[in-house]
Amino acid sequence: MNWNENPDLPAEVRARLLERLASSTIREVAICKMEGATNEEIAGRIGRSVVTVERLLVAIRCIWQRESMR
Amino acid sequence: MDQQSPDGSVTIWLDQLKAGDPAAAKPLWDGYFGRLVSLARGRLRAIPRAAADEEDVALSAFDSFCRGATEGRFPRLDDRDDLWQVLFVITDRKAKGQVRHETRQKRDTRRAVHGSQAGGGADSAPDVLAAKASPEPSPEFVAEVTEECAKLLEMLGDGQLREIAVWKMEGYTNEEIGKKIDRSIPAVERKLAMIRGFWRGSVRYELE
Repeated sequence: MNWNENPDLPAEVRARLLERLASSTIREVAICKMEGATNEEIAGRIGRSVVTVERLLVAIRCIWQRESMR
Repeated sequence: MDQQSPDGSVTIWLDQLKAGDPAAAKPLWDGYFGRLVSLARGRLRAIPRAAADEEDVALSAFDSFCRGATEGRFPRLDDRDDLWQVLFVITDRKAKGQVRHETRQKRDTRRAVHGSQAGGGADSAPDVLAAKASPEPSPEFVAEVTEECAKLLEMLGDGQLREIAVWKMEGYTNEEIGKKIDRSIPAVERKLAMIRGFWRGSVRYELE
């Protein structure tokens, strides 16, 4: 269980903690993906859960899709 | 020009520019200025501005690029991928500097207005508390994530590197990507390594 997914924590605390996922984490996830790493491997490298990695990947894909349609 | 023009042309123009031939700036300007304006526009979206602002940023960036190239400050500037990296970084920095400047001015103006009102300091307190209690990510955080994702893509330009990154992110294998672009798997792997290099910042340039 990671800090930002712990249901025992109040939602606002989780939200604040989630914000500590800096831009560098997103970049690292993208780099790992370009290396062909699995979601589990990426989670291990950035020290987050697989669920968090999946969420970040979805966010990246959505934003890229939107950017590509501009 | 740009991504559609032969890579050789860009390489030649860059060599000429580095050798101090100002005429080489013209085709580069024709090919890239519009894209720099678009990039600056995206970066300046958060602040009130006139159309001239994004053109000023792009102009300033292009000017810095030409001077830097002529003075030999970009040792790894050999092809259009390198060129876009340099132009991207310079324009991004200049636009962010502009945003910081505008935001600071706005904040100073607000302080001045609040400071002149009775109880003005207390007016802003509820907003701050509401923001801290919100379970949703703050707009600043959402904006930061969005900006970072968009930036990663923009760093790759509009050509093949961008396409490859998108496909890879969508889960295509290197073999499938190779078929799409009619290249070998090692060629795809080299492109992916280049993408990672750009993102890791291994392609660094000495900027003013």
